[in-house]
Order: sequence, then structure tokens, then C-alpha cells
Amino acid sequence: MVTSSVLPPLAVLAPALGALLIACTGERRRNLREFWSVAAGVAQLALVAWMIPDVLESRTPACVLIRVLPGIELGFRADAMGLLFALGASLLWIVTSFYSIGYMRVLEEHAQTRYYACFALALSATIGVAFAANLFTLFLFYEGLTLVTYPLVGHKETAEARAGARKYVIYLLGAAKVCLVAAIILTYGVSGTLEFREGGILPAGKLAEEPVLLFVIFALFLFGFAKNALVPLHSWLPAAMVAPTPVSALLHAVAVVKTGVFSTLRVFLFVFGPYAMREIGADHLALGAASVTIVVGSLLALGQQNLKARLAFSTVSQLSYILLGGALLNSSGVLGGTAHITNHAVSKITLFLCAGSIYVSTHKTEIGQMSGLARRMPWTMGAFALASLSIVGIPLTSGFVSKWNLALGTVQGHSLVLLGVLLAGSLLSAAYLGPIVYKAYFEKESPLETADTEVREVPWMVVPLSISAAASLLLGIFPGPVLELARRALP
Amino acid sequence: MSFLERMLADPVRRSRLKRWFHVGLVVVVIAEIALPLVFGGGAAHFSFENFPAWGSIYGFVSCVAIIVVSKLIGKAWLMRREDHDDS
Amino acid sequence: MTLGWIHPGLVLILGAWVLPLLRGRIKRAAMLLLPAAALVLCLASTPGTHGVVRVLGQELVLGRVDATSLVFACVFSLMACIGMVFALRVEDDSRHITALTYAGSALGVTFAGDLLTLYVFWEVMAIASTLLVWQSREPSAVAAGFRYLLVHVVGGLALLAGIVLHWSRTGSLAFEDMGAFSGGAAWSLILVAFLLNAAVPPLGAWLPDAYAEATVTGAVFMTAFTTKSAVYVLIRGFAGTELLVWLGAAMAIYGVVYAVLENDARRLLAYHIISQVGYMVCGVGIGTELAINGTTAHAFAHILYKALLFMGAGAVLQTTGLRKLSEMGGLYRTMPKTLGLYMVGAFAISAVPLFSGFVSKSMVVSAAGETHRTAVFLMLTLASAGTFLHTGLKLPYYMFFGREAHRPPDRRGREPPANMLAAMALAALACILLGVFPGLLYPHLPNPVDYAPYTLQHVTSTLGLLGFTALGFFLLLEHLDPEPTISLDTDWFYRRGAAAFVKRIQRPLARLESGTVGEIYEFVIRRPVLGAATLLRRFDSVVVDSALVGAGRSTRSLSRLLKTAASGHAQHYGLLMAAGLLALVALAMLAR
Repeated sequence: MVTSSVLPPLAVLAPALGALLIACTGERRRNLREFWSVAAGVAQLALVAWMIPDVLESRTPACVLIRVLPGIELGFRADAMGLLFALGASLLWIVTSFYSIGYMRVLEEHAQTRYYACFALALSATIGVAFAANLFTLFLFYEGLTLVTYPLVGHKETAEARAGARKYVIYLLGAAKVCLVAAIILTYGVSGTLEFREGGILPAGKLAEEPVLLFVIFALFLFGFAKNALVPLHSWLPAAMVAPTPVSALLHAVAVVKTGVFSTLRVFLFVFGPYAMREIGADHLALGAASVTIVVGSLLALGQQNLKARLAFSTVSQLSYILLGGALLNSSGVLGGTAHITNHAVSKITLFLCAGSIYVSTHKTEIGQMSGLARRMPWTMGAFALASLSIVGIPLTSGFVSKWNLALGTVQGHSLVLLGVLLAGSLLSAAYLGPIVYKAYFEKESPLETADTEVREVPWMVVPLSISAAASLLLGIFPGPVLELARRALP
Repeated sequence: MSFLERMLADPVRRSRLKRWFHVGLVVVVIAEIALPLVFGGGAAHFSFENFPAWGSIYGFVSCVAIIVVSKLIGKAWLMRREDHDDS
Repeated sequence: MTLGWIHPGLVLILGAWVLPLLRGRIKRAAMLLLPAAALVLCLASTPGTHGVVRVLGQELVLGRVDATSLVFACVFSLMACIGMVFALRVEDDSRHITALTYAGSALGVTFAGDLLTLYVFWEVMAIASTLLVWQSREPSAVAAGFRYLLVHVVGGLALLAGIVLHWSRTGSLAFEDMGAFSGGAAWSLILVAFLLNAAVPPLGAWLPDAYAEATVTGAVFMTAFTTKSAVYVLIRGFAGTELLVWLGAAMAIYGVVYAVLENDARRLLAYHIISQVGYMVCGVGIGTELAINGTTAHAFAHILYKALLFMGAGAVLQTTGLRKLSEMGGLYRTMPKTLGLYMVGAFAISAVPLFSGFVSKSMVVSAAGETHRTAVFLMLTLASAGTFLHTGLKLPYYMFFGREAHRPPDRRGREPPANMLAAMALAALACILLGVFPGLLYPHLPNPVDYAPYTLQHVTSTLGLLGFTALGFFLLLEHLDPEPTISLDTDWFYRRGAAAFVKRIQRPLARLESGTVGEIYEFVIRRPVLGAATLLRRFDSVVVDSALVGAGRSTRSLSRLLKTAASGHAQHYGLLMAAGLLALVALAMLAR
């Protein structure tokens, strides 16, 4: 049941307002500026959380702002899936804000105002995607997100950073402009509307007449949302590692990548719908692409010696778990995939925050340098170990909850091959995360290191990453809330 | 324990030990053959168990077989230099 | 959750985390009290179903207490006590936490009444035991621990897959006998997972690899829990599976063959674990009441005497730093008590009458006899001879007697500290007590016992078997000299094979990634795009130049304004965006 409510657009507006305030405050009054970041985050969280009771009782808060053409309007809608995504994003933004403060101040980075302002705008765009009621709105905010994160990726302004940011923008904008626009226009042509509806918006007649056209549209969507990092359009993700680590944490856990998979899931379930997907064989394409990405991403991760690069490829692989779940089109699969949006976000952000903490305290970036690190940075490595367990999917962690449901989904879908892909991904993630943990704890430091100056963990950074690590554990022991919301994605 | 040291260091004592060992073996064989006949021990599962002194014979044969066969397999196939796995 | 029964495993796992907060004598007391409390809880448990919880819409049973689970739980708790006595002087708290968590999760597996609980504790066991290997901190241990972890992750994944398939098919997570599903995918996967933990070849190469690298005290814990809990779950789920009879018999001989070739003392003992577990797996396969009793009794006895043997070898390692038989010898002079206690364990494992092995192993062998399996009977008896050969003769001979090689004084060894000797004495006492009074154990076995181990025939033929094995040993002594070599085992496949395989895939993948895709990006996208941009910029400046003549200044200032907009200062972008958004919203609200 749809109820009219101004809360969804307000939730989008709050961080934008925050960005404005941040830009106006500037570097002179740093503490006030940081306060605006946190305040905007809290406001956003509050606005989003306000809608929880409604959504749980199946009342969908919605709001249409502008009608451009019949069927094309700027509209917002907060359903369970969008709410789950928005909640995770809002919470993690607050955590990352504190972390950013620590990171930026210790490293005495330049252009901090630009950084915080763009960060806030990125969150605004993310919530815009989460609460988009139709493809038009989604597309607007999706593209906006790319533009707004471009200065964040290229923050360091070195030649390397500029090259990385350029690749980032070209991949994402390129894929969107080439594929997505065409897909959206074609969808409008076929169905006369761009609204998201449960079960899809494609008319049954078209399904019978022109399955090939619909398949092509689907493929355009699948690869157009390049933020979902499907192979072979995944290279923007490792290229974006030139960004400062809080940006990587945001990109790879919360905003950009999850926007990609979220949008893709929206297309699976609310534009095409399970019936249409199966009819035209789109689910096979999606399952195949996701499986390849899971395996290839993990294998590439194994070969990386740079910590952030390894985590980037790990993200490429883990994102396709979500797509795999969605493409299974059965209750357990979709439940697992949707839940993984949150569960993976919490674990991955911990890993990246730890990488940043290591860099700030020791300036180390390569895995080979990390022998014996656990003695000097116990909190950081402890959080890292816990989050790694979650990515591998050990019971009592959040990753296990998703993995269990995804496994059930593959069995419900009668595919042992997909089950095998899932489990291979687990094994490979143990293989590429294990060495980091055992090096840090059980290998002896090289003698050159021990003579080094004091290594101290930065509290501003350690507290946030401990919180997210604890969340990985808590969501694994008490998965109820996440599962409740995720369950409603496919009623 | 100086007792053990005394027993083993002295060659005379050592050969005496060996002799007692051989005596013991003979006693065991006799016991194996005679006692079940005299007192009627537990039921045997297989026919070959009733063969006199089958335990001793099988023990000796097993021991030799294990050593010989294992060494053969090892020399031919399984044994490698210690640093084999460090590539 | 029904009250009235406290899970001994949870007591150990949660209690372990209290240890770092304590100091000195109180900490030591706590270290001993925790497993003792677990043991008491086990002994005081009443049969029934306890600890039922509802999770994920399913009923989970945390406390299935019956004769089978109780006897395993009791020996696990007892082992935890002995292990903690042995490890009393270790300063590193993390080792104690890991060891107790390991023991506690083994108890969790034992009491699990459903597959999900089983899986959770199974994985906790794998992680805790990996940490026990890593904690010795040698480079070889770190590598061995990683291999151990990956192997157990594979096992865990197989178990998960099997459970998920089983649940889908039957809708129930209850952990009961799986005979009805024999041959199916779920059945096979779960069986493989159990066999892997039981170290059944070809899945068992992880055992000698890891146990020889773990810490002295850690290895003692490891010998007890992983393999015996696997035996327990095999009894529960796969009793009477014919395949297991042959796997078990083959295992018994496999362990003995590899042990002949072994040079490392603890590796040799590890191969013997495989051999002895073979008896148990075989017993599970035979499946008769006597066989299951025998398996259970043998597991009980084995935990105790194997721990004793590892404690002995560990004591030698600790006091001399030696682990290779080719380097040891002459320690009977300086470590007679260790030698004596070790020999009790050796006699127990060899099933010498009056020791625990005699009353337990023979049950399994008799069960083979009763069911008229001639080949199996002969194989198991052969393996018995082999066991005595290695553990009772070869190891002590080379470790404690053997070549009187020159040795620097400090490596001569000395008796280990009192707590280690006490732990060994406790285990030795148990081995002797069980052997002399089998009635202490028999009533607690799963099925009613109708077996008398001390028959004349049995005693005399055992003595004959052992005596003449000893004769063979002394006669062939020269051929047995340990050589400094290692033996190839099935772990070659993942040590060399898998690494080579992965490397072969990775190189072309990486080349594809940075090369092909990167090149496509470079030539198809980046260069044209930048080229077009440069062109446009040049065109733009030309236009500006020519327009200077005409509309001139206005155009110039316009282009300057545009350049500012394209300045890349994102604050401006941001402001523009925010302003735009606000304007949009304002428009919308006005337009309503």
C-alpha cells in the first residue's frame, strides 16, 4: 500500500544540505565543518529510520516531485529493499565520517572541504538511488553519483590519481551513456512506463512476441550498470584504488558498488520480474556473468600483492554473490543476495578501514610488509581477522547468514554448479585473506622493522573500524532485522 | 636410571638379557599351543586361528613383511630429499 | 531454552576468555578448574534432549545426551583436563584460549542433535586447531597451518553443501543415521567431510603435516579432538556403511607403512593416529553392536594413550630441541621417567594385555571375526603387529636408546617439568586402569557388552604376536635405521599440484586483465576520447580567436566563464549541484 510521504525526498535532501553547509564553512572553521558532516549523517539516518515501521507494515512511503512526461517523473518510493540499502549506507556514513576525520587530519591532506562536501553529495545520490521510484529517477542519481565521486577518486591530484580517476569516470559514464540510456529508452518504448513494480512492467504480449529484443534490453541493463563490477567491465574498481582509503571504503562497501548491484537487482525484480526473466532466459545470462565474476575476481585477488588491490578484486567477486542471489529468482536466493548487500558492506568496509589504518600508522601498502603487524596494531588486525572470517563465511558472522541463504537458493534452483561456484568463492577468499592474517599474527617482523619508531594506532580510526567489525559479528549472531527487511524484496 | 644404564652398558648383562628374551619367546609359543588345548580357551572365529602358535607365526611374518615392503615402496617411489617441498 | 543442563562445551569456550583477566595462582587454578567443571557436568548429565533453540525457523538441538555422546564427551573432557595440566606452565594466554575453545567446540559437536549446530561447532574447531598449529610461529608451522586451514575449509564447505542439499530434500536438519540416503549427493558430501576430519586417505595428508608442526602442548590437544569427533559423527550417521570397512582396514595398514619410512618422531606418531583411527572407521563400517562398542572403547583408550605418546615425544622435543630420529639417541640415561611413562603408552597402543588397548582394539578385531571378514581380520592383525613395531619398538629404541652418537651436553636432555610428568602419569594411570579393570568402561558403552577380553587363547596369541614382532625387529635392525628423508603423501596434490595449477591460470588471467582489457581501454576508449577532447579544445580556441574580431569581448568573457565552470574545483560543482537540487525541489513543491 502506497502512502504519500515527504520523508524519502527529505532523506535525499539532508546530505545535500549538509554539503552546502560544509562548502560554506570551509577550512577556517574545521570543527564546525566536520560537525556538519556528522550532523547530516545523523539527520539522514533519523529520516530513513523513521520510515521503518511503515515499511514493516507494508505501507510504502512515496512521493512524486515532478512529472516530466507521462511515465517519466522524478519520484521516490521507500520499499523494504531500498530501506535496507539506505539504512546501511546511512549508518556506515556516520562511521566513515569519524574515520575520515582521523585520516585526513593525521595525514594533513589538502582540499578537505572539497572532500567532505563531495562525500555528503555522494551519500545524497546514493539515497536517491535507494529510494528511486522509477528508472528515470534512478538514472539521474546514478549518474550524479559518478560525477560527484570523481573528485573524490582523483583527490590526491598526482598523475597517477588523475589517470585512475579518468579511467573510473570513462568506464562508468561510458557504460551508462552507451548502454543504460538505450536500455531505458527501449524499456519506455516497450512498456510505456518506467515505474518499478513488483513482478515487472513488461507487458505479457511483448514477452511472447519479441523475446530477443527484451533479452538485448536486459543485457544492456546488466552491463550498463557498470558499478556492479561484472567482468569484463570491472577494471574501474582497482583503478579507483588511487583514492584515499576512506573513499575506497565508501566506494567499495557502501555507495558506488552497492548502487550498481542494487540497481541491477531492481531491474531483475521490478522491471523485468521473475517470470519475464525466466521466459527470455535473462537469468541464465546473469547467472553466468555472476559466476564468472566470482571466480575470476577471486583468482585475480590471489595474485595481488598490494593490500587495497587485493581487497578491490575481492569486492568484484563478492558483488556477484549479490547478483547471483538475485538472478536465482527464488525466495532463498533473493533473500541471501539482498542480505549480502548489508552483510558484505559491513565486513568490506572494516577491511578497507583497516588498510587505511595500517597506511596511516606505518605507511605500509604491500602484504609482504605486514609480517608481525598484529603486535603493533592489535585492534586493527583483530578487526581485520574478524571481518575476514565474515567474508569467508564462517558461522556466527554476517557473511555466513548470506552464504547459507544463497546456498539454499542454489539448491532450490536445482543447480549444483552454482553451489560449487559459491563454495569455490569461499575457498578462494580464505586463500587470499588467510595470508594477511597469519602474516600479521604469526610471522616474525623483519629485523629492520623492529628498529623503527613507535607505531601507534589512531583512535579516530580504530573506533570506527572496531564498530564495523563488531557489527559483522552481531549481524551474524542476530541476523533477524536484516533478514526481515530482505525477505520482503521478493514476496 | 642407573639400573637401566647398568643393564645395557655391560655386554655380559646385555647378552643375558637377550637370552632371557629368547627363553621368554619359547615359553610364549609353548603356552600358545598348550594352554588352549588344556583349558579350552575362547571360541575361534576362523579356522586358521586354531593353527598351533598362529599368533607368533603371523606376528613374525607381519613384521618382516611390513619392513620389507615398506622399505621397497619407499625406495622405489615415496621417499624424497628433505627439501623436496621447498621449491 | 530448557534449563537444567549446562553445556560443558560452552563452559570451556566462554570460560577460556576469563583467563587473561586472572593472574598467577588463580589463573593456574582456573586453567584446571574449567575442564574439570566440564568433566563433572558431563558425568552428571542425564540422558535426554536439552538445549533446544529456535533459529532461522528451525529447531536446533544443542544437547543430545545419550550413551554414545556421553562417553565421547567424558573422554574429551578428561583429555582437556590432562592437556591443561600438561600446558600449565605455558605463559601465552592465547594458547590456552585456543586449546579450550577447541576442546569446547569438540564437545559442541558431540552434543549436537542437528546438522546446523554440528556445522557451527565443526568450523569453530577447524579455526581453533589452525591457530594451535600457527602458534608455534616457525616458518614451517605457518605454512603448514595455512595448508591445514585450506584443507579444513574445503571439508567445511563440503559439509555445508551436503547439509543444504539434505535440508532441501528432507526439510529436516536432524542429525540421525543417514543410511536411507546412501549414495545420494548430500550423503556423499557429508561423508567426505567426515572422512576428511577423520584423516582417511587420500584426504588425510593434513594430519602428519600439521601435527608435527604444532606447539608441544598444542599437538597434544590436537591428537584427541578432530579425528575422534569425526569418528563419533561417523558412528551417528554412517554406521554399517560397507565402504568404511575397507577404507578403515586400508587406513590401518597405510599408516603403518608410512610410519616405517618416517624420520620425524611426531610425524611417525601422527601416521599411527591414522592407523588407529582406521580400526575405528572399520568398526563403524562393520556396524554390529560389538563393533560399535569396540569403536567407542577404542576411541576412548586411544585418546588417552595417544596423548601420552605425544606428551612423551613433545617432552623430548622441548628438552632437547630434537625431532628427527636420525639425530636422537641415548636419552634413557637422562630421561628415564619419560621413557617409562612413554612405554606405558606404547604398550597400550600395541594392545599388550593389562593395558587399555588390549580390551578395546580386540573388540573391533573380534567383530571383524564374528562377521567372517577374513581379509579385514588379517589386515587389522597385521596392522597391530606394525603398531607395536613402530610405537613400541622403533620409536623408543631410536629415541631413547639407539646410536650412541656424540652429543653436546646440553642436548642430552633432562626430565621435563613436574606438571608435564604429572599429566603423563595421569594418562598412564588411565591406560593401566582400563586395561586391568575393563569393567570401568564397558557399562558406559553404547550397546550392552557381551565380550570378555581376557580369554586364554586371546592373551597367548597376542603375546605371541607381539613377542615375535619384537624378534623380527631385532633381527632386521640394520634395515630400520631412520634416514633423513621425507615421504610423498597425497598432500602433493595441493602443495605442488594446486599451486602450479593456480599459477598457470593466474598468469594468463593477469595478462588479460592488465594487457588485453587494458589495451582495449587504452586504444579504443582513452586515446580517442582524449584526442577528441583536445581537438575540441583547439577548435574552441580557434573560434574564440576568430570571434574576437566579431562579437569579440563578450564571447571571450563567456568562454572565460565557461572555463571557470570547467575548473575542476568540485566545490563549485558541488555548490552548483546542491543549488540545482534545491531549485528543483522548490520548483516541484511550487508546481504541486
